[in-house]
Amino acid sequence: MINWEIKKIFKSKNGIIALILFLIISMSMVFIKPNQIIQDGSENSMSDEEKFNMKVELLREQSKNKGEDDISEELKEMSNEKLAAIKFYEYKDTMFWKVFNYRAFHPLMSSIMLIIIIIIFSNIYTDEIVSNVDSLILSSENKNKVLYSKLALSIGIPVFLYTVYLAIQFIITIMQYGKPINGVLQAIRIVDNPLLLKDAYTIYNFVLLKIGIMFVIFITLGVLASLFSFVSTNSIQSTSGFLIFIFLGKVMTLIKYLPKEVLLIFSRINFIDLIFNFNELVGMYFGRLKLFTMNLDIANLCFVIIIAILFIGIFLCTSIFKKFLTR
Amino acid sequence: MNKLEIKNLTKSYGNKNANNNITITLENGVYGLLGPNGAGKTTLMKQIATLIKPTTGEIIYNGKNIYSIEDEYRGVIGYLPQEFGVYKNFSAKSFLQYIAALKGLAKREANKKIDELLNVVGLYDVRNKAIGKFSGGMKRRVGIAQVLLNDPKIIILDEPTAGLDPQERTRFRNLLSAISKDKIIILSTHIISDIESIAKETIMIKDGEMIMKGSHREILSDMNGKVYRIRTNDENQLAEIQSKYKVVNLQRGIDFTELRIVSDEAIPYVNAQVMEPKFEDVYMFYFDLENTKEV
Repeated sequence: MINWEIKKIFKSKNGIIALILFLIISMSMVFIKPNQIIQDGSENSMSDEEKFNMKVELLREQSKNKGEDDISEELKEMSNEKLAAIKFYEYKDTMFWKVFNYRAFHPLMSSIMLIIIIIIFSNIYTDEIVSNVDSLILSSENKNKVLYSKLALSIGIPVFLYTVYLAIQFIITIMQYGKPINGVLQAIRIVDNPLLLKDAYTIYNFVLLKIGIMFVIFITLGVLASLFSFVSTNSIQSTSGFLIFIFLGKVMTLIKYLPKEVLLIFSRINFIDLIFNFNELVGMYFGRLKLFTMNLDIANLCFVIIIAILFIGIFLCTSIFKKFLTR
Repeated sequence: MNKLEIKNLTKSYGNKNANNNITITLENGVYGLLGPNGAGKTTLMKQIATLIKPTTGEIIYNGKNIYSIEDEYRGVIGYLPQEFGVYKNFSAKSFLQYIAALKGLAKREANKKIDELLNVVGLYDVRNKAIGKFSGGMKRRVGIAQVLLNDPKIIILDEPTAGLDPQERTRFRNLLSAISKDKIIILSTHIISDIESIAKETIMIKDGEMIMKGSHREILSDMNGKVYRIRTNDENQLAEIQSKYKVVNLQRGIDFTELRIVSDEAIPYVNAQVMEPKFEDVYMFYFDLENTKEV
């Protein structure tokens, strides 16, 4: 049934619009480069070697700081770890990774992916209702296969599209900046602020971590968009429900009377910031949260919450299949 | 022999009962479901088609509760909803291929059956045309073809002949009669002649309750002595009859006006003549449309 579901999506206008958007965003990245690379063309810009030396110096300074509070102490420790992990203090070419890291998680890409997810998945079941085919599906032997195929696609299509997007960016970046070398070096070489990097990641680790989290975000958005489609009767209901949900986290950050711990969590894991400020959030140090007797790492806690939202979304979809659609 | 038992079936929406304690046993043959709009026919059919779950009561197919054999049961039903929908950008053939996949048919078997059914419903020549360009009647024929794809044992048809021209309707009735030997066919329609011509038994539903079930002979015999014909040219009498009785038919002629009325009580007019009941009379007798509650 999954083939039929794919066929239905890409035979519809929505599927075609989504494909066009995907092609535009994949190809337009050819012209998008990190600011630092654009600036390197100007006379007053710092050389890459100077920038790297500055970052190392910054880490050294931080490692010598006396930790006055928990955060300073932790930043000091992290700086020491990063310095200890540096294998080469001289400049090495990491241009490919700088550009790839920039393109792979660009906010324009993630916002277009969000639009594609809305177009495809907010309509994945409402389209059946609007075309009155839902009753044929729900009275058929393969009813469950159809519904689970839709759910599987809300996971599979974002994964597929983002994988293809990454592959295209990988190839384009190789063609423009050469092979991906020196990925075993420290990720501080490709980020602007080395102090806030959460760990002494290598470039490989850092990029893979971000790719993994981006996958989880897109899958979660796909599942949530489908969830709203399964409980709605038309596209407007479904899309507005989904948009309200993803904006809700951001809105919560504006409600100042909430406990500061809650505000802190919402400011890190609301979907709007995850989409538009992904690079500032993922792989970065957020501090710790004291909850009862536990001292939790906020970054890890946020990741656990996103995974929990994903699983709750999947669970709600399956419950809807069993109880809601034939209520 | 297939047997479908509906036991004490009630479907409630808030305080309203769309179906109220319906108990019927169905065996092979065509059953006509008759009732005014909002009587609860579609709700009953949707429950038989597993689209909605009963609030109380159960539906038993060949001794097993349909929800204990859910997928297996769905494999033996063919359902044509009142609002039959299609994917407008699919051709008739590819839409039927999709429905065949929904019904779990193997590809080769499905293609053979699809060609056969497209011939039966007279759409073979336009099989590759987008359904969006089909007329209402043609779409309905696609709907009839999809019902029969899996050679169902229970066929549920909600207003199947709506939008069909008289010739198509006759062809459809003949088709149903031909296949009804080993199937339970439940047919809901407002077209009384459809039920009259093919239904083995008629189930009459009003306000969510089953008010009568029986063969035509049984139902009509129950109406004996309740159908009258009155010929009059007195406009005052005409107005009085219309206000007091259920008029099935009123025909104005040159010399007089002829009324066909149904009444439980004896008619106090000397010019009233008892007539042999027809199915139309039954419908008018049981379903006082003005008092029908929408559920």
